Amino acid sequence: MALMTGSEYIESLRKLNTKVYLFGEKIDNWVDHPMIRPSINCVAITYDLAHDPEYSDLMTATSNLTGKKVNRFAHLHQSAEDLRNKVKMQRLLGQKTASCFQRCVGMDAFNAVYSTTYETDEKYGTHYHENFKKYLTYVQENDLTVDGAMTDPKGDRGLAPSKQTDPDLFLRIVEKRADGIVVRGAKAHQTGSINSHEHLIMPTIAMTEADKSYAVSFACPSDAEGLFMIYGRQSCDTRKMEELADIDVGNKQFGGQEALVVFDNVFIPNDRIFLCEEWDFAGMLVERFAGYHRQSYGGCKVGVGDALIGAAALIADYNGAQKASHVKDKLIEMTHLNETLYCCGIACSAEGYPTKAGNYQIDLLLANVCKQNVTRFPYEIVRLAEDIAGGLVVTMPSAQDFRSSEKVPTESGLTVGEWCNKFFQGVASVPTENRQRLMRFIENLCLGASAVGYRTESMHGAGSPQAQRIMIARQGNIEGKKALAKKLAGIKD
Amino acid sequence: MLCGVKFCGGCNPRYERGKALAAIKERFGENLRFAYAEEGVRCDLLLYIAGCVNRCTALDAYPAGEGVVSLWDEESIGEVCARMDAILRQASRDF
Repeated sequence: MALMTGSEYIESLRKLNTKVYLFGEKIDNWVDHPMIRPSINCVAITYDLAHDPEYSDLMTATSNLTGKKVNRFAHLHQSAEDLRNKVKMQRLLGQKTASCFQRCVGMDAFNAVYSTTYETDEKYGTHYHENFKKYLTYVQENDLTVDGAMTDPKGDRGLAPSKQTDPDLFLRIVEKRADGIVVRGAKAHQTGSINSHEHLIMPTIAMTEADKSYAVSFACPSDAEGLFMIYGRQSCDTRKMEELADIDVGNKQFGGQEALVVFDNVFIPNDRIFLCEEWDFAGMLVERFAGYHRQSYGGCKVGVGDALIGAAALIADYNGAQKASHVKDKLIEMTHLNETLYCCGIACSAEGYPTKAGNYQIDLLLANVCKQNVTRFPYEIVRLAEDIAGGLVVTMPSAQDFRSSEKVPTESGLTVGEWCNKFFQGVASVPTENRQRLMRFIENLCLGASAVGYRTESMHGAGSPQAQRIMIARQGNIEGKKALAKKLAGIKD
Repeated sequence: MLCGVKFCGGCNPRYERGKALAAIKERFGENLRFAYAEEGVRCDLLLYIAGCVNRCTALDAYPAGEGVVSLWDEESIGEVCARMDAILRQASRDF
């Protein structure tokens, strides 16, 4: 199959029997559900732009497996240039959607599983790498979206998987058969899981031998028997179901999506298994996936940041505050912070190196520094955007009020809509509705539905801040730095 | 004469590249045929439209008989058209 278009992707979702629960009920037509559809549109644009000559150079690559053109989201990075192009593609898509476009987790999982299976086979004589190559060829040939799923619910964070009161709190193998395995458990916070054709599962932490039944990696269709999803709420999400939501939702076309993905005794055939009890490779898989995903944030969040900085500059124009020196300075600060994140994303890519399997791995230290900055800078960018926009971001009446023809029984005899339009005008030449739209867009990113992707996901996605600090400590070469200081200070011991 | 058009990937373009192409097409009218460049397919002239000064696209796979003309900012559209015009005139003379 050739590269799908966005419309073909959406139609392909309809053919799946994905089981989705929202507000306590099974949603049969989830593709057209107003709360879910914006996130599907986001994935769809990753397909459409691959066909657009203005963007295809970043959106596509040549597969090392088949020699054919594939969507870059299904590509194994073959060079440091590929790693840089990945980050650039993510910035592009962040700019186009101002949302999480969800397909990165699959791409990052492909690259991590590809290199880890190679090294697992090398030690254990298993056949996971061949299994995975066949699987990825299938994904590339059919241009599929795959949820790279790592995070388990984890229960008591102080206990290992095998010590939990409820053994299902980490996904595990419950039965080994001649033709495959049966797995049970869940993956939490799964970005784009409902919008994915397939799931590629990885363990969530490094394991010991006692936890070997939790050391499992495999792929399965999103509509596999026993698999279902419970949709995650987002701030202000039901605005998407309101009449006249066009304005109040802030970003009508695009949005992100997270869900709890439950595996209630799901059968996985042998050829879709990529790790099965080789507990000493769980840590490698986690570290590599996390490294790629920490690099990713140096692209996607930057693109979203571009949109927010643009909105802050535009609202300053609409408010008549664009000439104030402090506003100009705040826009400079936002840009500085955003481009610093991009520097990190590009740097860890430029310093990439080939793995034993041949695909390219990012520089782990720089990728962790990248993500550590991402846990902070978007929050400051949001703070500055709110500062520039003003309190109206959170106090403005609804779109219904602005359009209301109900007369207020006072001397002027104006309608509710007329009062709103009168008092919420900024610069007279700018239609009040434009100001209204932009305020809602800023609200959406700073504390509405898209803040899930831009703020909290920046904090916890690809690992919470402490996870990066552990990696920075491991990779930071403090002993080498001590040696430098000793030599320069003339210390001989 | 066929002018192949190759855009960079557009990660953070500093101007609207599509509009720039439309302006260039308008400038040449019927005198030059434009088509999106395809890997391994020879064109007479390659117009490379990059979004910024980095011009990071590898162009090796896009052969062009009369060479490559690159645009990377809006202000240079006139200059780029003049260079394309010169190539076009030279090619007509050679013919």
